[in-house]
Amino acid sequence: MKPILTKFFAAMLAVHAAGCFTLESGTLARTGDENVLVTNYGWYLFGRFPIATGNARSDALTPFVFFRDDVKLDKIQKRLLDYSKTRPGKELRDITYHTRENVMFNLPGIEFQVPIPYVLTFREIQITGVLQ
Amino acid sequence: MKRLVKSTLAIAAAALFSGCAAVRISRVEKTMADIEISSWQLFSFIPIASGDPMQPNEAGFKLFRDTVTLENNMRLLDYAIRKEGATGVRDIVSYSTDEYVFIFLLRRHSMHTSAELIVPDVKDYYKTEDRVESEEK
Repeated sequence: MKPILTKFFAAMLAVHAAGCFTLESGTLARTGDENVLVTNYGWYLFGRFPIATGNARSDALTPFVFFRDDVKLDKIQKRLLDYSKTRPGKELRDITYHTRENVMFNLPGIEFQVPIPYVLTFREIQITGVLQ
Repeated sequence: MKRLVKSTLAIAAAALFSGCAAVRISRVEKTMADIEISSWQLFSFIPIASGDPMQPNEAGFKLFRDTVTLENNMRLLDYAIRKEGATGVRDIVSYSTDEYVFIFLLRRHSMHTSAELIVPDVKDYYKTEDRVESEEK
């Protein structure tokens, strides 16, 4: 039983550490405005070399990719613009970025930090816009 | 005493594991809406409890359902528009946040949306203020 649990926890940890790309939307019934939120995050070595990031390709087969940097403004913005093109007659407005970077390595949920910055870093980009 | 401690712990646990759905309105010159729905999840994908978007600003929550979606935030924004008698909305901004407990065992996932509600009275107030300022100049 114990090895199975250990493998399960290790698999969960790997999936979380890998990165994740999400695109979701919601529509205001009253005005018809559609709010779109695109999110991607990943992990980097020395703040520069991507280890694993969410897969931002529209034809992605896996939710994450290794050694490729998809947590970039242009890639995330392209997905938002591609989505807006699927809604003809609507204009994309109020585009806002929300970026976050952790340069001190610490596993989420525990306080311990490796006291050397930029060894293992975490980066997240979110972009939101309104289709009117 | 033991019963009191147990009850306190039970209430604390319920508060910890229940999500929340909140609609906050600020009416200082402009009418702004801030919406938040949060949930607690096991391993980030098994929902334990989420805020109930049908009961914003109350202690209601949904067990074993994930209500943290942009669609539900838009529902609550619709609710705020109706409540404030707004004729429109602008500057809608959404983002999500995550907090982890015990590495990746538990996650508190939240979706935030803010927007300015266009309320006719407030617009009239602004027109009046602009007029007064331009007259003073």
